[in-house]
Amino acid sequence: MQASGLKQWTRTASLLAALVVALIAGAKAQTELVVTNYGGTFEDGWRKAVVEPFEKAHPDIRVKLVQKLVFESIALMRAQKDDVKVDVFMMDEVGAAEAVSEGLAQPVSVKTVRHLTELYPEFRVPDDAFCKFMYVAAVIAYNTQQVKPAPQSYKDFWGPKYDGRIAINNLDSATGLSFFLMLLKAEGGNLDNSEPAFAAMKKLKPGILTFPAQHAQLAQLFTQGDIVMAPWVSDRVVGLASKGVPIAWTIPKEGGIMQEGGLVIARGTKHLEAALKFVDFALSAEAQAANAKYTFLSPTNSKAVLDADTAKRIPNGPQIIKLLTRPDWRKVNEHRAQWIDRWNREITR
Amino acid sequence: MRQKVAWLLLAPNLGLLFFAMLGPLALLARISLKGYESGHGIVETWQLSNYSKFLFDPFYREVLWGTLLLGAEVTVVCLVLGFPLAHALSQSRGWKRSTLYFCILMPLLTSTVVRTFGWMILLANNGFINRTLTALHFIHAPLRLMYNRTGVVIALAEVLLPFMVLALDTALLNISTSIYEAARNLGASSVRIFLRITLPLSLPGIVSGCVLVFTGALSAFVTPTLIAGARVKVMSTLIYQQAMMLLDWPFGAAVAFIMLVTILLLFGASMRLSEQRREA
Repeated sequence: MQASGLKQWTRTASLLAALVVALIAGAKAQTELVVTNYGGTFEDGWRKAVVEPFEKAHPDIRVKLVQKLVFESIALMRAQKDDVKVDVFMMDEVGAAEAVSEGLAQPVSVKTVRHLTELYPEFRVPDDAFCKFMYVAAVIAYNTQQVKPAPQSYKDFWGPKYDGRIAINNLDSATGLSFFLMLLKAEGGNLDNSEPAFAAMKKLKPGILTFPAQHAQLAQLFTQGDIVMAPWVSDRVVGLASKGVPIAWTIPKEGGIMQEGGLVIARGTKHLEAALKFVDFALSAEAQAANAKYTFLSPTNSKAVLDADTAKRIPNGPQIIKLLTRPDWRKVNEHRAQWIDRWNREITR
Repeated sequence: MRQKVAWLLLAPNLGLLFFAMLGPLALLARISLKGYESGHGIVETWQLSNYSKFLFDPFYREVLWGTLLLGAEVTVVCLVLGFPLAHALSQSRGWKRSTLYFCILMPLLTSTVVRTFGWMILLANNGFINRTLTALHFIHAPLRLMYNRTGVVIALAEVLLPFMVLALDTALLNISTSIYEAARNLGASSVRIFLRITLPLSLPGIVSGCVLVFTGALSAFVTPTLIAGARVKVMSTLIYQQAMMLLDWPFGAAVAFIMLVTILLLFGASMRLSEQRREA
C-alpha cells in the first residue's frame, strides 16, 4: 500500500517535472533540424551513436530523422530550393558532387565545423563544399566455406570455377559502378576508354546468375547460397556476417573503391547554425567511433578510436585507406549515363 | 435535382482526382517536354526529343513490348487460375463462402515486398521448390524459376490473382440461377451451358478483372526488380532508372507518359469491345 503510494507520488512528481521541462523548452523555442538518413538498421545505429548524444549535448535542438535514399535526396533538394524544409542531407560522394555542381549545397569551413581539421586530409573536399563523415570499401564479398582460398583479384570472377554462382550489381547502383571502375583498372582501360571493361563483361555475362539492384537482394542471395561471390561493400558484408552467414570481405590486389558518405547542408536552410553544430558533432572522434560500432561504417576522423572487435571487422586506419582509390566522380558522372545505356543494351539484355 | 445531388456526391472524389492525379500529371507532362544535361540538371527548353528518343529506338520499343507481353501473360495466368476459383466461390454459400472469400483476400493483407521475398525463398536455385525436387530425385540441376521472366510471371500472378477472382465473382453472382435451370431443362450439356451462358454473361467481369490485373502487372515495380534483377526490363524499372538513378526527370517523365497513353488506349479498346458485345 505504502509502496504504491510512493509510486503514485513519484509518478506525479515526474509528470510535473516533465511539464516544467516542456514549458521551459517551449519558451526557449526548440529548433527542429530535419536530417535525412538511409533508414533501416542504419537509422537505428545512427540514432544511438550520433543523434541521441547530440540532442543531449544541445537540448535546444531537436533532430528529426527522415529516410531518403541518395537520389531521392537530390530530387528533394531541387524541389525545395526556394523553401528549404530539410536541412541536412546524407548522401554519397556521387550524389553530393551532383548537389554541389547544381549549386544546392551550403559550403562550410574550419571555422564553422571545427572537427574538419581532425579528418584524414584525403577526406577534405575542395572549398569544404560538404563534409565526409564515413566511408565504406567496395570489396569482393565471398562465401568463406565455398570460396577457398579467398579471392585475390577481380579476375577471379572469370573462369569456370564459380560459373553461375556469382552476381554483379547492376551498373546504376553504387556497388555496380564501383565494380565497373575497378574492372576498368584491372583490364587496362580508363574513364575515357571503357571498351576493355565492356569486353570483359561480355565474356562474364553467361556466368552471371543475376544483376541485383538492392543490397537486400545480395543479402538474400548469399544467405540462401545461390551465389558464393559478388562485388559488395564492407559495411553490408560485416552486417550480414554478424547474423551468422559465412561471408567475408577482401580487398583484392588491384585495390578497392572508396565509397564515402557526406553530410550536405542545404543551401538556404533556415537553421544554419544548428545544422553546422550537427555536422560538426557527427565528425567528432567519439560520434564516429560509436557509429562505426553500430553501423559498421568506417571513420574519416583520424582521432577516432575503435574498440578492438570493431577494428578487426571493418576497414579502418591509414593503411587500408591507401588501398582504396577514389575516382574522379565528376568525370565518372559525365560518363555514367552513357555507360549505363550501353550496359542496358549489351550486358543485361 | 437528383442529378445535382449525384454531382455533389461525386465532388470529393473529383476533387481528390484533380489534386492528387491530374495536377501532378500536368506537372509531369510539362517536365517531359524539358531537356536534361547531366551535371546541370533540367534545361528550360521546350522540346519533343524525349518522346522521339523513346519511340525511334528499337531498344526502348522492345522494353515497352516486353512489358505489354508480361502483362498479357500474367493476365492469362490469372484468368485461367481465377475462373474456376471464382466459379467455386460464387457457387458456395454460408461459412464455406466466407472462408473461401477470406482465403482469397488474405494475400492482400500482406505487403507486396514481403510476399515477393517469400517467392524468392521458394523459387531460388537453392530455394524450397528446387531443393525438394532435387531431394526427391525429380531433377538434377535446379529449374530456372527465378532471375528471369518465369519467376516474375509466377509472383505477379499470385500478387494480382485476388483482383481477378473478386471481379469474376461479382459477375458470376449476377447470373440468375433460373437461367441455368432453364438451360438444363432444355437439355443443354454443361459444356454448352458454360460456353453459351456462363462465359458470355460473365464477360463484363472478365473484362474488368483483366483490366485490373493487366494494369497492375504493367505498373509493378517491386516484383520484377527483386525476382528478376536487371535482366528483365519493364517500363517501371526503366522509369526508375532514368528518373531516380540517372536523375533524368524529363526522359523518365516522357517514358511514364508513353506508358500511360498505351494503357489508356488498351483500356479504351477493351471497354469498346465489352460494350459492343453487350449490345450484340
